[in-house]
Amino acid sequence: MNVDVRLSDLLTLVGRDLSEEELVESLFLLKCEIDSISNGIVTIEVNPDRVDLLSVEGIARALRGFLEIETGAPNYSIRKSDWQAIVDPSVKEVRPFLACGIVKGLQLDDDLIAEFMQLQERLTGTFGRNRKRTSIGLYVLDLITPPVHYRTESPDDIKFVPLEYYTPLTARQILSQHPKGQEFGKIIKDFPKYPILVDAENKVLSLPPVINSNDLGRLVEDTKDVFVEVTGTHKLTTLQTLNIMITALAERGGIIEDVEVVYTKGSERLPDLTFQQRDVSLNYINKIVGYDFDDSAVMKALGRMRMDSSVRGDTVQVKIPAYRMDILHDVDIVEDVAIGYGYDRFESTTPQLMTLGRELPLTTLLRTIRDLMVGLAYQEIHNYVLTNTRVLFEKMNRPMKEVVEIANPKSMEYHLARNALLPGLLAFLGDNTAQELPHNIFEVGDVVTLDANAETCTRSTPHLAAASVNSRVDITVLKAKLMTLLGNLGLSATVRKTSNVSFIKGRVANLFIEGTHVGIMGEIHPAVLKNYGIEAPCVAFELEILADWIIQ
Amino acid sequence: MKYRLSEKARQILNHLSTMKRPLSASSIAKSLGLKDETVRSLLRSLRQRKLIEDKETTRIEFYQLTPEGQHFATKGLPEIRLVKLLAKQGDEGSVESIAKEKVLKPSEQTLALGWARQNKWISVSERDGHTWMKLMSNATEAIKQHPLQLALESAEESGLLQLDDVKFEKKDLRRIQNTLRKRKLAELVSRQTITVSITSKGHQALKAALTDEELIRDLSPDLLKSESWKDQDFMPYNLRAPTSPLYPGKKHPFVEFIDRLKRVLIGLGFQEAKGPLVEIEFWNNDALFMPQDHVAREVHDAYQIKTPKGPGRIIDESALKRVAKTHENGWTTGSTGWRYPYSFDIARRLVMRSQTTSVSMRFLSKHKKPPITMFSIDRNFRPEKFDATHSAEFIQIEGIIGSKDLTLRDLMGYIKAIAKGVGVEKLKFKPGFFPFTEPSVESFIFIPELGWREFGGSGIFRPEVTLPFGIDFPVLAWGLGADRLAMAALGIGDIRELATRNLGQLRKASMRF
Repeated sequence: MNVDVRLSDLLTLVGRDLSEEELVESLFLLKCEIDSISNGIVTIEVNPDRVDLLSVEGIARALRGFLEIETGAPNYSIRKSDWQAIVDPSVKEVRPFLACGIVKGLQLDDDLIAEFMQLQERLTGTFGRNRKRTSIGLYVLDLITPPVHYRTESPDDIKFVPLEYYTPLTARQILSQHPKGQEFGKIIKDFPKYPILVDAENKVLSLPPVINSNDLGRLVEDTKDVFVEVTGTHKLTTLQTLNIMITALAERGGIIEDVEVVYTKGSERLPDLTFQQRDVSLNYINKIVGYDFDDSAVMKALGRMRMDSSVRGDTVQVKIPAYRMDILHDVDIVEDVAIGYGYDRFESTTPQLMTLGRELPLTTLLRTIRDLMVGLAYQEIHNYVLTNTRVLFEKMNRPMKEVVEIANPKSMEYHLARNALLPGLLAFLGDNTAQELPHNIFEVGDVVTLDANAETCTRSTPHLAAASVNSRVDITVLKAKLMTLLGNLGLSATVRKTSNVSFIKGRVANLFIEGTHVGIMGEIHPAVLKNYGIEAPCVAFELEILADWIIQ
Repeated sequence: MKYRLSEKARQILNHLSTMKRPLSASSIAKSLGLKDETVRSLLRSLRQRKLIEDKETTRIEFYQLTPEGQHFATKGLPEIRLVKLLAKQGDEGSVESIAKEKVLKPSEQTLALGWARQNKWISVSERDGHTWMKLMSNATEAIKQHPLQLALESAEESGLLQLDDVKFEKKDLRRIQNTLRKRKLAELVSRQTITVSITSKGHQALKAALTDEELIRDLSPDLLKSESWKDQDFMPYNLRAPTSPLYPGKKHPFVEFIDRLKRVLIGLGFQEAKGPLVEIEFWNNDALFMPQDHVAREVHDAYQIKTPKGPGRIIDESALKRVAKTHENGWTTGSTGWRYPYSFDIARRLVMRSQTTSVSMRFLSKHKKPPITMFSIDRNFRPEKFDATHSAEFIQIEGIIGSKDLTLRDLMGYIKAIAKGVGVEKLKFKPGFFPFTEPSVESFIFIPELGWREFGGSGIFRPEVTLPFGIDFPVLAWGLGADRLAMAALGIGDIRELATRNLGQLRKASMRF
């Protein structure tokens, strides 16, 4: 995901002047990447695991560590407040979790307000799974009378002025009329009652996860104190989202105050910025990286990644800041040690491992077939597996058959998986009437057919198909080539007359090898030629390459 | 004295002798039905042998087509093509609709519009923010037998236009001459022509010459048997004459490129594997520790399947249960897991394979004894519209190596070796992110003509990925894009050309890469 930051702002937050080159290189080694720098705006690509880097404040915080301007885990102090947010049990079905916090003493300007809005969007877009899992609201603290209540109400009883509007709307109207309602309304639409946040005087803060109130939720330049709330369906994500938002605000010089979130059973004071602790074996780190870090090297590397650590014997005790969501396992600490040390500083090693390389016997067989086809003067072509009804059935004049069909195609040109190669070959020939004759083409490739008994309900099988177009064609020449091919594979085939709508009657036969029906050969029907736009006669064959032909 | 004359040289001498007057090369060519160049080159050699001599020189004027003139001679004047296009579109069309047809190059569109307008073949109007062109009633008639086009076509083959050769009315002739100059379609050039006549030595030669019939053209079994070739001369061939193209049976360059990649990986000790194109989400995602609500699994990032409905079957039920627990709470892998309720229904859903990493997971579920190596180069699918840089089908080069004591630095060593295998010496590493590897490495290679380019992703499989399949040693994994590598190697700028629909292009494509 791309994050746009103002270069001057970023450098102020980092606290040191950096050349463009230094900035590019440091971010590169920090798992980010600079997409572009223009007009003082730096576009930085952030990986989805590091949601704490979705803000300029978070990026600066990481850079300060990496550049050793300020290392170790940042310490955010939290002042106690007497604010409360009370969660009503009625929200349990629709959106059960709430996390709140306060940041005071901010100096906002329009750029900064816009940036916080963007951070909110990015966080709820990725980590919040498009607001389904979490959504965020920021409010002018002075306009709210505590305690805040989180409960549900029926859609017609909720009425307030949503952001970007001047007149009050009911929740039902918001879902049908407001752009955000149309976009995110589907998350709550099917519930009889919608979640809502109100203050002690029943003023609406927001209709989560859809829209905030224009009266309370519009930050302006002279706003100093901000109330932050996160609602969600996943407890951990809700708490973590609050941590990221609150610490980003605190990086701007704000002072954090807590809010007591009260559930029916028990309460918690949020934000909870307690360090996550993890004990990792030094030997484990060294074994995975393939390096010999000593105590101080590990501590230094982790310090650059904004973690505190101490080493006792083989145990590295790591304190992980509460905004890091990506530490699930010891191995995640190992990667931070490696990044903190610097990927550019590792010499690569080559293990002396004795392994036998070999291709699949199928690959050998397919190559042999391709070599023989080239020897028979055919030009190989390469088509996509994805195709459409017209090419696969209609132009062949063959009846529709069940094939793999994609539920969410991007284009109706590509919505089926091919169950045969020949239609693609004929379409290719139809595109090349301007090329000098004769045309002799073939393709070897996988086709997909349905098979209820298979693990994936389908089967991918290699096929061979070939087609020749010339001012005069001869089915007996085609048969001779086909028999030569099979003869050179040590196979002998028999043909049996058949009828097939895509071929001329009396000039089409099924192909059998050791009694198994493997394919078809014949002269293409003039009506089919016309469908594909082929202007001269055409003979063709297609066969399945059977697994029994493979010599193991 | 013995003279050897080729059949054509003999014809020329004979002609000069019968006509009894000096003739120009082109007049000889015309009379004998030979090509101008052929006659000229024969005359040169006859002159050298003093069998003919130069008589008088005169200058003649003619037009020589410019490259643009030549192009229009073959393709037709752009304004004529425009009229035809409009006629096809129902006599009216917008500039965009014409551009879409790709019949006219962008540079030709302006020309076509200008000339068609000047010729009063079209009227132009602005409507709904588009520029519309409408055919005038005379246009389709006017482009039939169009004098300028006819003149150009008469010169298509030789590039030389002698206006007297083509029958034109006088006023047309003037206009053609003016237009050719003004539009820079042809340049007026003059050439010296020389007339030649036969010398007395030429007459002698003609009499004494052996004709081709007396020379050996084809060496035959009979000639070999009778050994009569000893008494005869062989007719010489002109080996400098151009030949016509042949179209051999040929492999497809991209398929061949993939075949060569396979050889590189086999050389590095990897063993090939293959998996199904339609996959179960379990193998495509879940086994790779990608949470079931992961963004990469949503509609816009994976092809879901309407037919067959599924669900697919996961044969190893106990592996499924271990993976489920790992997602929910980390199972015994030492991980916290993703902490959400795992759905077995989602696990059994069918998708078009979106990454060949699924092949690696299927392989790992069956090969648990170290050391293991595997590679797969095969198709994957993602909901993309096809354009110059995007493709809904792409080919991934996938590989894993598992053994006790393998490390992150070993992984870097392997990536270097693979890059070397495809001919790249210079590369750099940065940390990366993939849901199924930790630590992860992204590599960049330096291609002299292109600069630094992304090479591929890699990493060590997370314990949450390997432990549920009973693998307790490090497995290094990497994936590279075959399409981009092939584009660099084959000198292709548009990803769609890897599956080109143009037979001419395949016939011309170089196989030396």
